Amino acid sequence: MEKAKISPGQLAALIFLFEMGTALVVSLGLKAEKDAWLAILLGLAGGMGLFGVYVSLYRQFPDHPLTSYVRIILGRWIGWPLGLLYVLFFIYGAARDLRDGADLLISSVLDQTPMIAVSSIMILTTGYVLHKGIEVLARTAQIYFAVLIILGVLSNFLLAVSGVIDIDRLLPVLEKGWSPVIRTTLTQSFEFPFAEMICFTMLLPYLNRPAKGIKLGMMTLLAGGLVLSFSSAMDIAVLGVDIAGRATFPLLMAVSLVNIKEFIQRMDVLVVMTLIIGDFFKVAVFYYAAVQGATDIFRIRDHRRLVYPIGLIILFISAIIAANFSEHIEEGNFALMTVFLLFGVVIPIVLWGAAWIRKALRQSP
Amino acid sequence: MKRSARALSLLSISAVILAGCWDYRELNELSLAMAMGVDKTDAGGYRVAMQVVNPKEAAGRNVAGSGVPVVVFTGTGQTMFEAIRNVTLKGSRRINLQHLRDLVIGEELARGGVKELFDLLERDHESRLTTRVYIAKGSDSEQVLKILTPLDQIPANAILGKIKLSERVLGENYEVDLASAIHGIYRKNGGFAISGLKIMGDADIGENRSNLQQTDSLTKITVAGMALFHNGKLTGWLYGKDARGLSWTNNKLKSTVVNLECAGNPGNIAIETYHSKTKKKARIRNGKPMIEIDIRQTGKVGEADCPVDLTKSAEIRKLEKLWEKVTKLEVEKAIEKVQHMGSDALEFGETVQRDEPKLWKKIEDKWSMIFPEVQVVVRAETSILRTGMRTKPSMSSK
Repeated sequence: MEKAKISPGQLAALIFLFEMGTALVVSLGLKAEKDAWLAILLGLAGGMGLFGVYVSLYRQFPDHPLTSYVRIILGRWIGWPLGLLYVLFFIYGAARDLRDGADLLISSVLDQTPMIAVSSIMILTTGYVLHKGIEVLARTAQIYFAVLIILGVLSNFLLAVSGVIDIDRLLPVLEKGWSPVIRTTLTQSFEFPFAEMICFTMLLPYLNRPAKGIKLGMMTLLAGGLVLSFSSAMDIAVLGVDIAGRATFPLLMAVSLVNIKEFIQRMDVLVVMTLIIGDFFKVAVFYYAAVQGATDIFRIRDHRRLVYPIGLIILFISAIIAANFSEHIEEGNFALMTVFLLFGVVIPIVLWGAAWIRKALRQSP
Repeated sequence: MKRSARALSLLSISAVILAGCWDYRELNELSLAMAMGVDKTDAGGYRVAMQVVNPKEAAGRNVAGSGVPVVVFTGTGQTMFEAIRNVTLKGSRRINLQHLRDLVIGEELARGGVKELFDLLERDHESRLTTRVYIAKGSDSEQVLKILTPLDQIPANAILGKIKLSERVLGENYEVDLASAIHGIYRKNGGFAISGLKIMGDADIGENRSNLQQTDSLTKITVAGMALFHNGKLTGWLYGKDARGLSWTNNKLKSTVVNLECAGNPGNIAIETYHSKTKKKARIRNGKPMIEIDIRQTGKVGEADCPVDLTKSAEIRKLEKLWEKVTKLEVEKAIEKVQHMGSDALEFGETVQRDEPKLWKKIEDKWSMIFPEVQVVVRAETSILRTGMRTKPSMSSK
């Protein structure tokens, strides 16, 4: 572990940006059609509970990241390989998000640019920040938190003034009943982005004021989920569920409808900036979790040695992960229900149970 | 040594990254398409016409050149994309769709169905959903795009200006953008309405610059009627008062002029609408859907050509009642006509789906059959707020 400390405010900024990340711009929850916002709210409820599990683990091992307390809880023989798997999982997560960001950027604005050019610039920047350490990432997050809020308020204001928001498009609520909503929650909006919060188990030990940090973190998580839900409802109210559902990039489509007196229009750049900022932090947090995990399990003294090698791995995985965007999305949906569910939900809950039993056993004799 | 090698590599990386966009396109290599027209070819493909700006002429600043402000290029292809790319055979610059304002669809194509048309415009990253859509009444869209317009140099802007103005002051048309066209056209058993454009005069003369060199241009583009669609196919047209009834029903009416008879006297009173708002609600009556339409409007007396004492509030109240009646009748007549044409451009389907989702599930598939029979109740509530700059009309002083 680095010798570094992050403040509750910085953690909150990181959580918020991570949660917005790519979830804000892609068609989150739209499998539930008009009720996407409800699916996200349900996902949020699950996500809060899950974060409670992560926090409870952190409270028992306040000085250790996830990869090291698995060894304490499950012993060296199971814990070490599991830690390694987690490192691979974090690398995979970073690569997926890098690919998401690059693919969306290319299909929306940079249509002739090779993907590797976009991805490598992104990974170089994240790598540079991580090389400087977690404190630098956290401070960057504070700045971009403000930028993202401004972008969000501005876009919503412009949409409202353009008069393109039609709340009627969200009605009727629950037209097809609860089942599509619950199905979407379970297969998508719970894992993405809430189960991905597992990355933060690698960051929590850096908190300088744990009690306050956890409280603020929880509140940010809640606020972020509400923003996601609101934004998804907004996409549908602006575009209608048919166009929003077909769009690879609904938020961009929605904001491109801004047109005030044929003068203020083409505000797409606001969304493109949102995408770049969100994607940056998503990749960065996964990436840092991977670096931190590898430093821990291989007992390397200085995390900086691993930053660029792991960055290179992430870059190449992001390029070979899928042959085209459809495959990438298809694979993503599959991964959410398997890989992300396993590493983000099942294993932490098992660990939590095991830690609890371990504690009980130790107290009883 | 090591230091300088590092600096050198950093510099060379920066050189690559800072050089800027990979896929940059300089302005002098681009043609900005302002309007696009689509027609059907005999071979079953598309013919696309692009109205692009001629930058030298459009720049203005008293360079009364001898050229024309826009140029129209055409291309054909089996798909829209191919047709657009084939346009480059004629133009020398890459066509950029980002500033596309108008999309004009030829009537013939519209009658055959436009469902295949919008995918490209939705999928392409350059085109935008704010582009306005029109139907070229009785002609090819290509001809419409070729007509030069006075006052507004660029015809694409002139068309948009006309439709906006007509929507704002007359209410017989309203602008429709790609986003809402896509909703309406792809809705199952749904209907939709799009404004029409018509060429008045000889289309060939309109292409010449000489069309602009007289006070009354020989060839003009006018806004004409609303084209009704059913399941993506044009089924008929609504004009004048009927089209205004449609605007009223769809809450698109902003301002208009309604003529009222002057009670007991010859002559007319014109009421100018300030503000109008329409709410649609669906109810169930005897297991069948029923639509209630509530119109609320305020206005003022714009012209009074008969001796009526406008200083008395009782007279104003009488006028309000009359205005209510006229509105109600006009809307009812328009609705009846639209129902007869079988195009749910009135968005009744959406209303039922929103207010009575359970009923909608049952009747969704048979909606085309049910729609013409749907019972409609129209209610209007009007208030006249002012009488303009005079009280009694000039006619009343003897």
